[in-house]
Amino acid sequence: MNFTPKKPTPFPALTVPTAVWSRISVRISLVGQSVHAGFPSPADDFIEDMIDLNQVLVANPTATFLWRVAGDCMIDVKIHPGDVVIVDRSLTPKHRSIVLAIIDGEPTLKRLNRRGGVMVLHNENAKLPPFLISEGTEVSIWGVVTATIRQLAK
Amino acid sequence: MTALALIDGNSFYCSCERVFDPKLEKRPVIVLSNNDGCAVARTAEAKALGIKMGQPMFQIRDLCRQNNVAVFSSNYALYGDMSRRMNSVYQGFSPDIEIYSIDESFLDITHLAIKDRTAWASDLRSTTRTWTGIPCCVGIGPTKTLAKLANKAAKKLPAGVLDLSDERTRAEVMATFPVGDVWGIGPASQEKLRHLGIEYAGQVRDMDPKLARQLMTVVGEKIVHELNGRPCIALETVALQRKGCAVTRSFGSRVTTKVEMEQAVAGYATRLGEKLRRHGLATDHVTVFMHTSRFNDDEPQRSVSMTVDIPEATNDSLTLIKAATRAVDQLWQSGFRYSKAGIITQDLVPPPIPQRALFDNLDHERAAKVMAAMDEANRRWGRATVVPAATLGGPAKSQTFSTKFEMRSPKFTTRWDELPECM
Repeated sequence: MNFTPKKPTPFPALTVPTAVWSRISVRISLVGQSVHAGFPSPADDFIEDMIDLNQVLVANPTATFLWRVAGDCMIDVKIHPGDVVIVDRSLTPKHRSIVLAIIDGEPTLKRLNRRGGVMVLHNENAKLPPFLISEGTEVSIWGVVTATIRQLAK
Repeated sequence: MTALALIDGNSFYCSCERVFDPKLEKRPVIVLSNNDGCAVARTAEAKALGIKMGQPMFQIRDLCRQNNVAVFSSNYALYGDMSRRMNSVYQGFSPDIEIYSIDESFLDITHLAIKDRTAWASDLRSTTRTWTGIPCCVGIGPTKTLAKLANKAAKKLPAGVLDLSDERTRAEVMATFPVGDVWGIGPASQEKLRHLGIEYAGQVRDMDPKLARQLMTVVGEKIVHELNGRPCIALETVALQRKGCAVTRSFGSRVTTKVEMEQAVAGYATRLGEKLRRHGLATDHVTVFMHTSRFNDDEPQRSVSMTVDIPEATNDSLTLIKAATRAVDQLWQSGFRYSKAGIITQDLVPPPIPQRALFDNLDHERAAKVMAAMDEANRRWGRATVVPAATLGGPAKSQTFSTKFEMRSPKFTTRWDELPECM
Protein backbone atom coordinates (compact mmCIF):
# COMPACT_ATOMS: atom_id res chain seq x y z
CA MET A 1 0.00 0.00 0.00
CA ASN A 2 1.26 3.45 -0.90
CA PHE A 3 0.79 6.45 1.24
CA THR A 4 2.55 9.76 1.20
CA PRO A 5 3.12 12.04 4.20
CA LYS A 6 1.11 15.23 4.02
CA LYS A 7 0.64 18.28 6.15
CA PRO A 8 -1.39 17.66 9.29
CA THR A 9 -5.12 17.78 8.76
CA PRO A 10 -6.63 20.63 10.79
CA PHE A 11 -8.75 19.13 13.53
CA PRO A 12 -12.00 20.57 14.81
CA ALA A 13 -11.21 21.90 18.27
CA LEU A 14 -14.09 20.13 19.95
CA THR A 15 -12.05 17.38 21.51
CA VAL A 16 -8.50 17.49 20.30
CA PRO A 17 -5.99 19.44 22.36
CA THR A 18 -3.35 21.59 20.70
CA ALA A 19 -0.43 19.30 20.17
CA VAL A 20 2.86 20.71 21.24
CA TRP A 21 4.96 18.03 19.68
CA SER A 22 5.38 16.57 16.21
CA ARG A 23 2.54 15.01 14.32
CA ILE A 24 2.67 12.53 11.51
CA SER A 25 -0.29 12.63 9.23
CA VAL A 26 -0.90 10.64 6.11
CA ARG A 27 -3.81 10.13 3.83
CA ILE A 28 -4.52 6.78 2.21
CA SER A 29 -7.33 5.38 0.15
CA LEU A 30 -9.53 2.52 1.23
CA VAL A 31 -10.45 1.41 -2.31
CA GLY A 32 -10.33 2.95 -5.80
CA GLN A 33 -12.33 5.76 -7.32
CA SER A 34 -16.09 5.87 -7.28
CA VAL A 35 -18.40 6.55 -10.19
CA HIS A 36 -21.56 8.61 -9.95
CA ALA A 37 -24.31 7.96 -12.46
CA GLY A 38 -28.04 8.19 -12.85
CA PHE A 39 -30.88 10.59 -13.36
CA PRO A 40 -31.62 13.46 -10.98
CA SER A 41 -35.09 13.05 -9.50
CA PRO A 42 -37.67 15.48 -10.93
CA ALA A 43 -39.14 15.83 -7.44
CA ASP A 44 -35.89 17.20 -6.01
CA ASP A 45 -36.90 20.84 -6.40
CA PHE A 46 -40.17 20.33 -4.55
CA ILE A 47 -38.95 18.53 -1.47
CA GLU A 48 -39.81 20.45 1.69
CA ASP A 49 -39.03 19.77 5.32
CA MET A 50 -41.33 17.42 7.14
CA ILE A 51 -43.82 18.83 9.65
CA ASP A 52 -41.95 19.06 12.90
CA LEU A 53 -43.85 19.09 16.19
CA ASN A 54 -41.00 20.92 17.84
CA GLN A 55 -41.80 23.97 15.74
CA VAL A 56 -45.08 24.51 17.55
CA LEU A 57 -44.45 22.83 20.89
CA VAL A 58 -40.95 23.98 21.77
CA ALA A 59 -40.03 27.66 21.64
CA ASN A 60 -36.68 27.35 23.38
CA PRO A 61 -35.22 23.83 23.01
CA THR A 62 -32.21 24.65 25.20
CA ALA A 63 -34.45 25.33 28.20
CA THR A 64 -37.16 22.78 27.47
CA PHE A 65 -37.56 19.49 29.32
CA LEU A 66 -40.17 16.72 29.34
CA TRP A 67 -41.68 15.30 32.52
CA ARG A 68 -44.01 12.33 32.97
CA VAL A 69 -47.13 13.03 35.04
CA ALA A 70 -47.71 10.53 37.83
CA GLY A 71 -50.44 12.23 39.88
CA ASP A 72 -53.93 13.58 39.32
CA CYS A 73 -53.76 16.99 40.98
CA MET A 74 -54.39 18.74 37.63
CA ILE A 75 -57.07 16.39 36.34
CA ASP A 76 -59.74 19.10 36.09
CA VAL A 77 -57.66 20.85 33.43
CA LYS A 78 -57.20 17.56 31.63
CA ILE A 79 -53.69 16.68 32.67
CA HIS A 80 -53.88 12.97 33.41
CA PRO A 81 -51.47 10.50 34.96
CA GLY A 82 -49.28 9.08 32.19
CA ASP A 83 -49.31 12.31 30.19
CA VAL A 84 -46.08 14.05 29.28
CA VAL A 85 -45.78 17.75 30.04
CA ILE A 86 -43.47 20.11 28.22
CA VAL A 87 -41.73 22.43 30.66
CA ASP A 88 -39.87 25.60 29.66
CA ARG A 89 -37.45 26.91 32.28
CA SER A 90 -36.77 30.17 30.46
CA LEU A 91 -40.33 31.51 30.81
CA THR A 92 -41.27 33.77 33.71
CA PRO A 93 -44.25 32.28 35.55
CA LYS A 94 -47.30 34.50 35.25
CA HIS A 95 -50.69 34.72 36.92
CA ARG A 96 -52.63 31.54 35.95
CA SER A 97 -49.53 29.72 34.62
CA ILE A 98 -49.41 26.01 35.23
CA VAL A 99 -46.01 25.36 36.75
CA LEU A 100 -43.81 22.51 37.80
CA ALA A 101 -43.21 23.42 41.43
CA ILE A 102 -40.79 21.82 43.86
CA ILE A 103 -42.53 21.58 47.21
CA ASP A 104 -40.31 20.23 49.97
CA GLY A 105 -38.22 18.49 47.35
CA GLU A 106 -41.23 16.94 45.54
CA PRO A 107 -41.77 17.89 41.90
CA THR A 108 -45.47 18.56 41.42
CA LEU A 109 -47.79 20.39 39.01
CA LYS A 110 -49.71 23.36 40.34
CA ARG A 111 -51.69 26.36 39.13
CA LEU A 112 -50.05 29.65 40.03
CA ASN A 113 -52.21 32.53 41.18
CA ARG A 114 -50.81 35.94 41.88
CA ARG A 115 -52.98 38.06 44.11
CA GLY A 116 -51.68 41.48 45.02
CA GLY A 117 -48.08 40.42 45.15
CA VAL A 118 -48.86 37.14 46.95
CA MET A 119 -48.24 33.92 45.06
CA VAL A 120 -50.58 31.01 45.66
CA LEU A 121 -50.19 27.52 44.25
CA HIS A 122 -53.18 25.23 44.06
CA ASN A 123 -54.43 21.94 42.65
CA GLU A 124 -56.91 21.67 39.80
CA ASN A 125 -58.84 18.72 41.18
CA ALA A 126 -62.24 19.21 42.87
CA LYS A 127 -61.69 15.99 44.83
CA LEU A 128 -58.50 17.27 46.43
CA PRO A 129 -58.30 20.00 49.03
CA PRO A 130 -57.08 23.31 47.59
CA PHE A 131 -53.41 23.22 48.21
CA LEU A 132 -52.33 25.46 51.06
CA ILE A 133 -48.68 25.82 51.84
CA SER A 134 -47.96 25.64 55.53
CA GLU A 135 -45.30 27.73 57.14
CA GLY A 136 -41.77 26.44 56.77
CA THR A 137 -42.53 24.62 53.52
CA GLU A 138 -39.86 25.14 50.91
CA VAL A 139 -41.24 26.09 47.53
CA SER A 140 -39.53 26.88 44.25
CA ILE A 141 -40.67 26.93 40.67
CA TRP A 142 -38.77 24.61 38.33
CA GLY A 143 -40.38 25.75 35.09
CA VAL A 144 -43.55 26.72 33.27
CA VAL A 145 -45.71 24.02 31.64
CA THR A 146 -46.35 25.00 28.01
CA ALA A 147 -48.09 21.90 26.64
CA THR A 148 -49.18 18.38 27.42
CA ILE A 149 -48.84 15.33 25.26
CA ARG A 150 -51.31 12.47 25.59
CA GLN A 151 -51.02 9.49 23.34
CA LEU A 152 -54.41 7.93 22.55
CA ALA A 153 -53.32 5.00 20.44
CA LYS A 154 -50.09 3.56 19.10
CA MET B 1 -6.36 43.31 24.15
CA THR B 2 -7.71 39.77 23.92
CA ALA B 3 -10.44 38.90 26.41
CA LEU B 4 -11.41 35.29 27.05
CA ALA B 5 -14.03 33.90 29.38
CA LEU B 6 -13.86 30.41 30.84
CA ILE B 7 -17.16 29.02 32.09
CA ASP B 8 -17.51 25.73 33.92
CA GLY B 9 -20.35 23.92 35.59
CA ASN B 10 -19.92 23.61 39.37
CA SER B 11 -19.54 19.94 40.39
CA PHE B 12 -21.01 19.40 36.95
CA TYR B 13 -22.03 15.73 37.04
CA CYS B 14 -23.49 16.12 40.53
CA SER B 15 -25.37 19.26 39.50
CA CYS B 16 -26.93 17.38 36.57
CA GLU B 17 -28.26 14.80 39.04
CA ARG B 18 -29.66 17.53 41.28
CA VAL B 19 -31.63 19.21 38.48
CA PHE B 20 -34.00 16.26 38.19
CA ASP B 21 -34.06 15.18 41.81
CA PRO B 22 -34.49 18.32 43.94
CA LYS B 23 -34.25 16.27 47.15
CA LEU B 24 -30.54 15.90 46.43
CA GLU B 25 -30.17 19.63 47.05
CA LYS B 26 -29.87 18.88 50.75
CA ARG B 27 -27.54 15.92 50.46
CA PRO B 28 -23.87 15.52 49.62
CA VAL B 29 -23.64 13.96 46.15
CA ILE B 30 -20.83 12.10 44.40
CA VAL B 31 -20.61 10.56 40.94
CA LEU B 32 -18.38 7.55 40.31
CA SER B 33 -16.09 6.85 37.38
CA ASN B 34 -16.83 4.23 34.74
CA ASN B 35 -17.07 0.85 36.47
CA ASP B 36 -17.96 2.64 39.68
CA GLY B 37 -14.33 2.57 40.77
CA CYS B 38 -13.79 5.97 42.30
CA ALA B 39 -15.33 9.39 42.90
CA VAL B 40 -14.93 11.72 39.91
CA ALA B 41 -17.36 14.47 40.91
CA ARG B 42 -18.26 15.81 44.34
CA THR B 43 -20.52 18.54 45.59
CA ALA B 44 -19.17 21.06 48.10
CA GLU B 45 -20.87 19.07 50.90
CA ALA B 46 -19.12 15.88 49.78
CA LYS B 47 -15.78 17.68 49.62
CA ALA B 48 -16.40 18.96 53.16
CA LEU B 49 -16.73 15.34 54.32
CA GLY B 50 -13.17 14.80 53.13
CA ILE B 51 -13.99 12.80 49.98
CA LYS B 52 -11.11 13.33 47.57
CA MET B 53 -11.14 13.53 43.80
CA GLY B 54 -10.41 10.06 42.43
CA GLN B 55 -10.74 8.38 45.80
CA PRO B 56 -11.63 4.68 45.40
CA MET B 57 -15.17 3.78 46.39
CA PHE B 58 -14.13 0.99 48.75
CA GLN B 59 -12.34 3.56 50.92
CA ILE B 60 -15.36 5.79 51.36
CA ARG B 61 -18.24 3.33 51.43
CA ASP B 62 -18.79 3.63 55.19
CA LEU B 63 -18.33 7.38 55.20
CA CYS B 64 -21.00 7.70 52.50
CA ARG B 65 -23.43 5.48 54.38
CA GLN B 66 -22.97 7.35 57.66
CA ASN B 67 -23.44 10.75 56.06
CA ASN B 68 -26.31 9.91 53.71
CA VAL B 69 -24.21 10.69 50.65
CA ALA B 70 -26.08 10.15 47.37
CA VAL B 71 -23.81 7.98 45.18
CA PHE B 72 -24.33 7.72 41.42
CA SER B 73 -22.76 5.80 38.56
CA SER B 74 -21.82 8.01 35.61
CA ASN B 75 -24.78 8.88 33.40
CA TYR B 76 -23.07 10.21 30.28
CA ALA B 77 -26.30 10.38 28.27
CA LEU B 78 -27.57 12.92 30.77
CA TYR B 79 -24.30 14.82 31.25
CA GLY B 80 -23.73 15.05 27.51
CA ASP B 81 -27.19 16.48 26.90
CA MET B 82 -26.89 19.00 29.73
CA SER B 83 -23.45 20.03 28.44
CA ARG B 84 -24.91 20.59 24.97
CA ARG B 85 -27.62 22.78 26.49
CA MET B 86 -25.11 24.85 28.46
CA ASN B 87 -22.98 25.45 25.39
CA SER B 88 -26.00 26.52 23.45
CA VAL B 89 -26.74 29.10 26.17
CA TYR B 90 -23.14 30.35 25.94
CA GLN B 91 -23.38 30.66 22.17
CA GLY B 92 -26.12 33.21 22.69
CA PHE B 93 -23.55 35.31 24.54
CA SER B 94 -20.66 34.92 22.09
CA PRO B 95 -20.44 32.92 18.87
CA ASP B 96 -16.71 32.24 19.28
CA ILE B 97 -16.66 29.22 21.50
CA GLU B 98 -14.22 26.46 22.23
CA ILE B 99 -15.81 23.53 23.97
CA TYR B 100 -12.84 22.47 26.03
CA SER B 101 -14.37 19.58 27.93
CA ILE B 102 -17.80 18.30 28.92
CA ASP B 103 -18.14 21.03 31.55
CA GLU B 104 -15.73 23.77 30.44
CA SER B 105 -15.88 26.19 27.53
CA PHE B 106 -13.86 29.20 26.48
CA LEU B 107 -15.60 32.17 24.89
CA ASP B 108 -13.74 34.84 22.96
CA ILE B 109 -15.27 38.16 23.98
CA THR B 110 -12.54 40.44 22.63
CA HIS B 111 -14.71 42.01 19.98
CA LEU B 112 -18.01 42.08 21.81
CA ALA B 113 -19.28 45.51 22.76
CA ILE B 114 -19.58 44.86 26.47
CA LYS B 115 -19.49 47.86 28.77
CA ASP B 116 -19.28 45.94 32.01
CA ARG B 117 -17.74 42.48 31.68
CA THR B 118 -18.64 41.46 35.22
CA ALA B 119 -22.30 42.32 34.61
CA TRP B 120 -22.17 40.44 31.28
CA ALA B 121 -20.70 37.40 33.02
CA SER B 122 -23.32 37.53 35.80
CA ASP B 123 -26.02 37.62 33.17
CA LEU B 124 -24.54 34.60 31.40
CA ARG B 125 -24.27 32.80 34.71
CA SER B 126 -27.86 33.40 35.78
CA THR B 127 -29.25 32.59 32.32
CA THR B 128 -27.39 29.27 32.37
CA ARG B 129 -28.72 28.55 35.84
CA THR B 130 -32.31 29.41 34.92
CA TRP B 131 -32.42 27.61 31.58
CA THR B 132 -30.48 24.46 32.46
CA GLY B 133 -30.55 24.38 36.26
CA ILE B 134 -26.74 24.04 36.39
CA PRO B 135 -24.78 26.53 38.50
CA CYS B 136 -21.58 27.76 36.87
CA CYS B 137 -18.68 30.15 37.42
CA VAL B 138 -17.11 32.57 34.96
CA GLY B 139 -13.50 33.71 34.84
CA ILE B 140 -12.28 36.39 32.44
CA GLY B 141 -8.70 37.17 31.44
CA PRO B 142 -6.50 38.15 28.49
CA THR B 143 -5.14 34.60 28.05
CA LYS B 144 -6.51 31.10 28.48
CA THR B 145 -4.29 30.47 31.50
CA LEU B 146 -5.51 33.67 33.18
CA ALA B 147 -9.14 32.96 32.32
CA LYS B 148 -8.70 29.53 33.93
CA LEU B 149 -7.08 31.13 36.96
CA ALA B 150 -9.88 33.71 37.21
CA ASN B 151 -12.46 30.94 37.02
CA LYS B 152 -10.79 29.01 39.82
CA ALA B 153 -10.66 32.13 41.98
CA ALA B 154 -14.29 32.96 41.11
CA LYS B 155 -15.33 29.65 42.69
CA LYS B 156 -14.55 31.13 46.09
CA LEU B 157 -16.54 34.32 45.49
CA PRO B 158 -20.28 34.55 46.21
CA ALA B 159 -20.76 36.29 42.84
CA GLY B 160 -19.18 33.33 41.00
CA VAL B 161 -17.61 35.76 38.53
CA LEU B 162 -14.13 37.26 38.33
CA ASP B 163 -12.66 39.54 35.67
CA LEU B 164 -8.86 39.68 35.64
CA SER B 165 -8.52 42.05 32.69
CA ASP B 166 -7.13 44.68 34.99
CA GLU B 167 -3.48 44.16 35.82
CA ARG B 168 -3.72 45.33 39.43
CA THR B 169 -6.52 42.93 40.32
CA ARG B 170 -4.58 40.20 38.56
CA ALA B 171 -1.44 40.83 40.60
CA GLU B 172 -3.47 40.81 43.79
CA VAL B 173 -5.11 37.45 43.04
CA MET B 174 -1.89 35.84 41.82
CA ALA B 175 0.00 36.82 44.95
CA THR B 176 -1.84 34.15 46.94
CA PHE B 177 -2.88 31.75 44.18
CA PRO B 178 -1.18 28.36 44.72
CA VAL B 179 0.98 27.13 41.80
CA GLY B 180 -0.64 23.70 41.94
CA ASP B 181 -3.90 25.31 40.84
CA VAL B 182 -2.35 26.95 37.77
CA TRP B 183 -3.50 25.31 34.52
CA GLY B 184 -0.83 22.92 33.23
CA ILE B 185 1.30 22.76 36.37
CA GLY B 186 1.13 19.17 37.56
CA PRO B 187 2.40 17.63 40.79
CA ALA B 188 5.87 16.96 39.32
CA SER B 189 6.37 20.57 38.21
CA GLN B 190 4.91 21.80 41.47
CA GLU B 191 7.57 19.85 43.34
CA LYS B 192 10.37 21.31 41.19
CA LEU B 193 9.05 24.83 41.74
CA ARG B 194 8.83 24.33 45.47
CA HIS B 195 12.54 23.57 45.61
CA LEU B 196 13.07 27.06 44.18
CA GLY B 197 10.75 28.53 46.79
CA ILE B 198 8.03 29.19 44.23
CA GLU B 199 4.61 28.66 45.75
CA TYR B 200 2.32 31.21 44.17
CA ALA B 201 1.21 32.03 40.65
CA GLY B 202 2.68 35.53 40.97
CA GLN B 203 6.15 34.03 41.41
CA VAL B 204 5.75 31.87 38.30
CA ARG B 205 4.69 34.98 36.36
CA ASP B 206 7.97 36.63 37.39
CA MET B 207 10.15 33.66 36.41
CA ASP B 208 12.64 33.85 33.55
CA PRO B 209 10.84 32.06 30.68
CA LYS B 210 14.08 30.21 29.85
CA LEU B 211 14.29 28.79 33.35
CA ALA B 212 10.62 27.81 33.21
CA ARG B 213 11.36 25.97 29.98
CA GLN B 214 14.29 24.10 31.54
CA LEU B 215 12.15 23.13 34.48
CA MET B 216 8.81 22.34 32.83
CA THR B 217 9.50 22.04 29.08
CA VAL B 218 7.91 24.35 26.58
CA VAL B 219 4.64 24.13 28.51
CA GLY B 220 6.28 25.97 31.41
CA GLU B 221 7.55 28.73 29.16
CA LYS B 222 4.07 29.23 27.75
CA ILE B 223 2.60 29.39 31.23
CA VAL B 224 4.96 32.23 32.16
CA HIS B 225 4.00 34.21 29.06
CA GLU B 226 0.32 33.54 29.55
CA LEU B 227 0.45 34.63 33.20
CA ASN B 228 1.99 37.87 31.96
CA GLY B 229 -1.02 38.41 29.74
CA ARG B 230 0.66 37.36 26.47
CA PRO B 231 -1.52 34.76 24.70
CA CYS B 232 0.38 31.63 23.60
CA ILE B 233 -2.47 29.17 23.40
CA ALA B 234 -4.99 30.01 20.72
CA LEU B 235 -8.70 29.60 21.07
CA GLU B 236 -9.87 26.71 18.92
CA THR B 237 -13.34 27.66 17.95
CA VAL B 238 -15.73 25.37 16.15
CA ALA B 239 -18.14 26.26 13.44
CA LEU B 240 -21.72 26.21 14.62
CA GLN B 241 -23.06 24.02 11.88
CA ARG B 242 -22.34 20.34 11.92
CA LYS B 243 -19.49 20.29 9.46
CA GLY B 244 -17.52 17.58 11.11
CA CYS B 245 -18.00 14.88 13.65
CA ALA B 246 -15.65 13.42 16.20
CA VAL B 247 -15.58 10.56 18.64
CA THR B 248 -12.61 10.69 20.95
CA ARG B 249 -11.90 9.43 24.43
CA SER B 250 -9.17 9.52 26.99
CA PHE B 251 -8.43 6.00 28.12
CA GLY B 252 -9.16 5.07 31.72
CA SER B 253 -5.77 3.38 31.84
CA ARG B 254 -3.01 3.71 29.26
CA VAL B 255 -3.25 1.57 26.13
CA THR B 256 -0.06 -0.29 25.27
CA THR B 257 -1.13 -3.08 22.92
CA LYS B 258 -2.27 -2.89 19.32
CA VAL B 259 -5.24 -5.16 19.85
CA GLU B 260 -6.62 -2.89 22.59
CA MET B 261 -6.14 0.13 20.37
CA GLU B 262 -7.89 -1.58 17.45
CA GLN B 263 -10.85 -2.49 19.62
CA ALA B 264 -11.10 0.99 21.05
CA VAL B 265 -10.92 2.65 17.65
CA ALA B 266 -13.41 0.17 16.18
CA GLY B 267 -15.73 1.17 19.01
CA TYR B 268 -15.35 4.85 18.12
CA ALA B 269 -15.98 4.07 14.45
CA THR B 270 -19.19 2.29 15.43
CA ARG B 271 -20.28 5.28 17.45
CA LEU B 272 -19.35 7.63 14.61
CA GLY B 273 -21.54 5.61 12.24
CA GLU B 274 -24.39 5.84 14.73
CA LYS B 275 -24.00 9.62 14.99
CA LEU B 276 -23.88 10.06 11.22
CA ARG B 277 -26.94 7.88 10.66
CA ARG B 278 -28.88 9.78 13.29
CA HIS B 279 -28.18 13.03 11.51
CA GLY B 280 -28.75 11.56 8.07
CA LEU B 281 -25.17 12.31 7.03
CA ALA B 282 -22.23 10.44 5.59
CA THR B 283 -18.51 10.91 5.11
CA ASP B 284 -15.90 9.85 2.59
CA HIS B 285 -12.92 9.79 4.94
CA VAL B 286 -11.98 9.18 8.53
CA THR B 287 -9.03 10.62 10.41
CA VAL B 288 -7.73 8.47 13.23
CA PHE B 289 -5.39 9.92 15.82
CA MET B 290 -3.71 8.60 18.92
CA HIS B 291 -1.35 10.20 21.36
CA THR B 292 0.42 9.86 24.69
CA SER B 293 -0.15 12.24 27.57
CA ARG B 294 1.71 15.48 27.08
CA PHE B 295 1.72 16.10 30.82
CA ASN B 296 3.90 13.04 31.45
CA ASP B 297 7.05 14.67 30.15
CA ASP B 298 9.33 11.95 31.47
CA GLU B 299 7.78 9.32 29.17
CA PRO B 300 8.40 8.95 25.43
CA GLN B 301 5.87 11.07 23.58
CA ARG B 302 4.07 10.33 20.36
CA SER B 303 1.20 11.90 18.51
CA VAL B 304 0.16 10.60 15.13
CA SER B 305 -2.82 10.77 12.88
CA MET B 306 -3.85 9.38 9.55
CA THR B 307 -6.68 10.01 7.17
CA VAL B 308 -8.17 7.14 5.23
CA ASP B 309 -10.27 7.91 2.16
CA ILE B 310 -13.38 5.90 1.50
CA PRO B 311 -14.36 5.72 -2.18
CA GLU B 312 -17.98 6.59 -1.65
CA ALA B 313 -19.52 8.59 1.19
CA THR B 314 -20.94 6.22 3.77
CA ASN B 315 -22.35 5.99 7.27
CA ASP B 316 -22.06 2.23 7.46
CA SER B 317 -20.28 1.33 10.69
CA LEU B 318 -18.63 -1.73 9.20
CA THR B 319 -17.02 0.30 6.39
CA LEU B 320 -15.95 2.95 8.89
CA ILE B 321 -14.44 0.26 11.13
CA LYS B 322 -12.54 -1.16 8.16
CA ALA B 323 -11.11 2.24 7.32
CA ALA B 324 -10.31 3.05 10.94
CA THR B 325 -8.56 -0.24 11.70
CA ARG B 326 -6.50 0.19 8.55
CA ALA B 327 -5.32 3.49 9.98
CA VAL B 328 -4.48 1.91 13.34
CA ASP B 329 -2.53 -0.78 11.52
CA GLN B 330 -0.44 1.86 9.72
CA LEU B 331 0.00 4.11 12.72
CA TRP B 332 0.70 1.60 15.45
CA GLN B 333 4.07 1.61 17.12
CA SER B 334 4.72 -0.19 20.40
CA GLY B 335 6.69 1.18 23.30
CA PHE B 336 4.39 4.08 24.05
CA ARG B 337 1.70 4.48 26.66
CA TYR B 338 -1.21 5.99 24.71
CA SER B 339 -3.61 8.10 26.72
CA LYS B 340 -6.11 9.10 24.07
CA ALA B 341 -7.37 8.19 20.64
CA GLY B 342 -10.20 9.19 18.43
CA ILE B 343 -11.81 9.43 15.04
CA ILE B 344 -12.66 12.64 13.26
CA THR B 345 -14.35 13.37 9.98
CA GLN B 346 -14.94 16.66 8.25
CA ASP B 347 -17.09 17.82 5.35
CA LEU B 348 -20.10 15.70 6.11
CA VAL B 349 -22.42 15.09 3.18
CA PRO B 350 -25.84 13.52 2.71
CA PRO B 351 -25.52 9.79 2.04
CA PRO B 352 -25.50 8.93 -1.66
CA ILE B 353 -28.80 7.72 -3.05
CA PRO B 354 -28.29 4.13 -4.19
CA GLN B 355 -28.18 3.85 -7.97
CA ARG B 356 -30.13 0.94 -9.27
CA ALA B 357 -27.78 0.42 -12.21
CA LEU B 358 -24.65 0.08 -10.15
CA PHE B 359 -23.38 -3.41 -9.66
CA ASP B 360 -22.38 -3.00 -6.01
CA ASN B 361 -25.84 -1.85 -5.14
CA LEU B 362 -26.94 -5.04 -3.42
CA ASP B 363 -24.21 -4.68 -0.83
CA HIS B 364 -25.30 -1.14 -0.15
CA GLU B 365 -28.85 -2.10 0.57
CA ARG B 366 -27.85 -5.01 2.71
CA ALA B 367 -25.47 -2.84 4.75
CA ALA B 368 -28.12 -0.18 5.27
CA LYS B 369 -30.57 -2.82 6.51
CA VAL B 370 -28.03 -4.27 8.91
CA MET B 371 -27.25 -0.81 10.30
CA ALA B 372 -30.93 0.10 10.64
CA ALA B 373 -31.59 -3.11 12.56
CA MET B 374 -28.58 -2.52 14.78
CA ASP B 375 -29.63 1.06 15.55
CA GLU B 376 -33.18 -0.03 16.31
CA ALA B 377 -31.99 -2.74 18.70
CA ASN B 378 -29.68 -0.30 20.44
CA ARG B 379 -32.42 2.29 20.67
CA ARG B 380 -34.84 -0.14 22.16
CA TRP B 381 -32.63 -2.02 24.57
CA GLY B 382 -29.88 0.48 25.26
CA ARG B 383 -26.60 1.39 23.63
CA ALA B 384 -24.24 -1.42 22.70
CA THR B 385 -26.88 -4.16 22.87
CA VAL B 386 -25.73 -5.10 19.37
CA VAL B 387 -22.21 -4.19 18.30
CA PRO B 388 -19.94 -5.12 15.41
CA ALA B 389 -17.65 -8.00 16.32
CA ALA B 390 -14.53 -5.88 15.73
CA THR B 391 -15.33 -3.84 18.81
CA LEU B 392 -15.38 -6.93 20.99
CA GLY B 393 -12.31 -8.90 21.72
CA GLY B 394 -10.12 -10.67 24.16
CA PRO B 395 -10.59 -10.51 27.90
CA ALA B 396 -8.45 -7.38 28.23
CA LYS B 397 -10.88 -5.41 26.12
CA SER B 398 -14.08 -6.18 27.94
CA GLN B 399 -12.53 -5.02 31.18
CA THR B 400 -10.92 -1.91 29.79
CA PHE B 401 -13.82 -0.43 27.90
CA SER B 402 -17.04 -1.78 29.33
CA THR B 403 -18.92 0.36 31.77
CA LYS B 404 -20.84 -0.55 34.88
CA PHE B 405 -23.92 1.48 35.63
CA GLU B 406 -25.20 -0.02 38.84
CA MET B 407 -26.31 3.23 40.42
CA ARG B 408 -27.03 5.19 37.29
CA SER B 409 -29.89 7.68 37.38
CA PRO B 410 -32.43 7.62 34.51
CA LYS B 411 -31.49 9.20 31.17
CA PHE B 412 -33.94 11.97 32.02
CA THR B 413 -33.47 14.02 28.87
CA THR B 414 -32.78 11.52 26.13
CA ARG B 415 -35.20 8.61 26.55
CA TRP B 416 -38.99 8.61 26.52
CA ASP B 417 -39.18 5.72 28.95
CA GLU B 418 -36.84 7.38 31.47
CA LEU B 419 -38.39 10.85 31.81
CA PRO B 420 -38.43 12.39 35.28
CA GLU B 421 -41.77 12.07 37.08
CA CYS B 422 -43.89 14.69 38.79
CA MET B 423 -47.10 14.49 40.80
